[in-house]
Amino acid sequence: MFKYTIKRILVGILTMFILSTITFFMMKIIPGNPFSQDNKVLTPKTYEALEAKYGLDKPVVEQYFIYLNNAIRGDFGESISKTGQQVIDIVIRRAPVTARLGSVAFVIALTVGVTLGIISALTKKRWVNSLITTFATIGVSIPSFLLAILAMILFGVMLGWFPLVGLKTPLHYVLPAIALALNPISMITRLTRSSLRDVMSKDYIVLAKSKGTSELWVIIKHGLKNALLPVVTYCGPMFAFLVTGSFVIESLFSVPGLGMEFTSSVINRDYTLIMGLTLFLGAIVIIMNIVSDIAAAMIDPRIKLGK
Amino acid sequence: MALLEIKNLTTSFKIEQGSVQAVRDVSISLEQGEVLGIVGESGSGKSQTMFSLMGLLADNGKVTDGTIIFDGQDISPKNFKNKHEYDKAMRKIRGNTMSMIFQDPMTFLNQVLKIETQLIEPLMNHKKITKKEARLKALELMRKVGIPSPEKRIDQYPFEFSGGMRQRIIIAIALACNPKLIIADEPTTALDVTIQAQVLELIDSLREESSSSIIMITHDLGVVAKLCDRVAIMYGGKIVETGTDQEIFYDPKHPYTKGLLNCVANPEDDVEEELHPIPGSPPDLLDPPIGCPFVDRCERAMRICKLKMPDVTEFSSTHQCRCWLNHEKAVK
Amino acid sequence: MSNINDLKLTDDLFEKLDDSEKNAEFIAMESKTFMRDSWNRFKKNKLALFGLIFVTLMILFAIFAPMFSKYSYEMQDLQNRNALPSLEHLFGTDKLGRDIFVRVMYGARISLAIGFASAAINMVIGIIYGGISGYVGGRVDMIMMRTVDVIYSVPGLLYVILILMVFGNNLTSMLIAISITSWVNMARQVRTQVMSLKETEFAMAAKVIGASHSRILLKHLIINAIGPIIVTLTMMVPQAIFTESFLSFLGIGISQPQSSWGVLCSEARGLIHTYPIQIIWPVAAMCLTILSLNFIGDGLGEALDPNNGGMN
Repeated sequence: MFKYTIKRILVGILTMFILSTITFFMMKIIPGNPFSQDNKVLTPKTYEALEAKYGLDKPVVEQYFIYLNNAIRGDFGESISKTGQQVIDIVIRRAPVTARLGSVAFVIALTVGVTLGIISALTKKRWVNSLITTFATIGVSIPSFLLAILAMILFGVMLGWFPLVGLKTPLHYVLPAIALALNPISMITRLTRSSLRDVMSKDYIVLAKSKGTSELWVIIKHGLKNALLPVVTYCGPMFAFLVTGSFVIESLFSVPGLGMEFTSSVINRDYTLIMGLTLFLGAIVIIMNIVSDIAAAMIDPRIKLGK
Repeated sequence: MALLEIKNLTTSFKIEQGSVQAVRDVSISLEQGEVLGIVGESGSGKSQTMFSLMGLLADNGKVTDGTIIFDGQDISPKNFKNKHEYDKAMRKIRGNTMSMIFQDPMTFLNQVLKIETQLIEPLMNHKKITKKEARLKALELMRKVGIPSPEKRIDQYPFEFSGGMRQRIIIAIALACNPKLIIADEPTTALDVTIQAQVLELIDSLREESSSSIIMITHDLGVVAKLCDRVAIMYGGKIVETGTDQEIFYDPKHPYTKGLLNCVANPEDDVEEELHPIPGSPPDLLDPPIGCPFVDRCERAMRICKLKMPDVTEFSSTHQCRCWLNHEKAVK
Repeated sequence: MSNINDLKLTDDLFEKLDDSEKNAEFIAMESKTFMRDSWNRFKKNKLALFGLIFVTLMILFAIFAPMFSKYSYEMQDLQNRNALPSLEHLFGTDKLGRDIFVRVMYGARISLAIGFASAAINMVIGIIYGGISGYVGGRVDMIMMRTVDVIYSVPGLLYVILILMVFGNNLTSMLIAISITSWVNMARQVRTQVMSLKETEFAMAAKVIGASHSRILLKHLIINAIGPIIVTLTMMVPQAIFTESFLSFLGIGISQPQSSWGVLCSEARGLIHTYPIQIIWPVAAMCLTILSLNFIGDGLGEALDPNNGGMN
């Protein structure tokens, strides 16, 4: 288990290093720079001063090492479009908003997804099963932002049940959180359903029943622990999905979080901010992947005991 | 009174193409302490007969006819108002007075639960004891089935055990509550030959020291010769011949039984003698034959065999056979 | 145990049965070719069939509707802005008086083109990469698959955005960006297939005969792995359409005058309170297309699975 954890963490660090290298050189190849010459407002002198300030006059390789060194210490430099603001400060200010929305969506996705999955795997009523599977197919297929738009029109504009802008009250969370969670809910429903069905047809379930254990206990004790393994593993990719999903959901619902910040930084070509956010979001996703892999390993004794 | 009395048991499975009649009109009786072997090739319905008895049929399977009296209690599914009532009654019996040893030790143990959890489960279900007492009892069981240093092994997971050791665990689970009837469903098929002998030895010794009855399902006549008092031969969902081990081995009446015996190498026989596998394949139980199921593979088949299932012919109070060749009109 | 029977046990019934009168082997079902069998199974799946019909219609409309309409996708009619659907303008007009029907169909061209083209590019990269990795095996395979793991553990969208920033917001760079980031699944899929097929007898046989390595790889392995590859491919099309529309909707994907469904959604978004119907059209077109493609993928997955036919 210890070896497994160390290995996963090392791979994570390697991934992080590659991501930061790619990000850096991508930003370097982009034709021109934020203070391109066609910007007539800048005199050559101020232009040079600006380049010096952001370290853009040094050789690329040197810039790269300075950047890596700073990035490790959490220093991504100053935002270009928001002068005077450190990237790291922007991240720290915006992150809690995204974290709140994301964790609400995460909890909804897990509870609703697992519940629906269990119901549809075990129900003997055909219509319940087809209702849930149809819902899950639609939820998996249709992009979250389209569903968000439809939900906005239906519940926000036409029915007026929920507010559409910001995150001031719990009511504000309903639409964006559900829109964000819908795809993961469907994924988890499908995963739980297929793996629980698979598990319930396994031989060890028959043995458990042959001991006189009640149906419910067989499901809880012998079925779920095995069946939820793929769901736990999926939590990593789900975080990735929630992060990228927040780009569009936050800008749709005007939620001032990291996603909205990222979108606007791309539109404004705010390179330092883009690099900082890419690395930060990448790191979160990589860490979550490691956490979910380790959690899955804890459930499965074969990995836990290092075999 | 017999411990187990199965009469005219019929079980079928619904599949897309129709209904598979896996068990057709099977009757078995078993006395306390007796060991019965049920022999047949795969698909002959021997395992499904036992799953019907335990109430462990897959969801698409159903006992459609027949009665089962076990330990003085009628446990035929039709005797209960609904599936829920039936399950409730069966839960009290399963793992308690009737238990099962399964085929494959690799797949029948739960990989993510400790041996302790899996071993104390029948005890916790049926006996009013604490977890601590159950653990002590589990250790005793592990010793009984020959697992070395049980104190250490009990907290391990199945993957840390060899195949033979896992099968011993499965046997220990079946023995936990001192059942009156143990059903062993091909308990050695999935094991290495050397381990097979050890496990059989274990079952043999357990039989001697307890009063449990055993139903041994197998396709291995060697196992039958070693362990069983009586044998039932199954073919195409039906029992075609029953008798004591002596009667079956030395005076087989059904061509299928004779065929099976021909398939077994007998070390005492002349080395020159060849083995004779039975040509052909078992009947399609989706559309079972109306006559004798063995007709298409039988060397001595007659016209009547295709038209009608033969009645039972009694050779002794224990030896019975269903074959038209025993009819007076048949050419001897 | 004996039933009342009408059968008279006459002597002739006890005559020996001739071998020809026994059904020694019964044939369970007529044999069909695999593709025919698959198509029959696919046809039975109503959702998949619906999907196929819808996508075909959508492609036909995307090609021909803009050609035959009297409106072009950029023709403005300022007198007739934000019109509701009518016979004149099937889906109504937008804030500049442009015909929404023509624009949605024109958007279909771009969205579908991106979907299919990037799936095709993906297939090529994925098959080559996964094929080599699975066929060569050993250390090469390990390194290639670790690389895939590393790429996979960062959301592809981040890379796509970076690439778009480098090459600019247009159709070509969108294609490059999506293709570069999404071949990973295909590569994994192909590798697994190749690995398992490599061990089968016919691959061994081919090797013994002395067929050249690349021929073994291509002809025998890939062709036999075609089922799962087709399924992965079908699932890739909606994924690409989604990525493109997602970015275009955010304003960091394709930009005007090229207008995909994502761009149309983005334009209509500002009018969501006043004219919500304008956003419904591209959203509906996209939802139905993506759903249809997924249905086709599911249907193909079931139909092409050889274990799915036969007795079970």
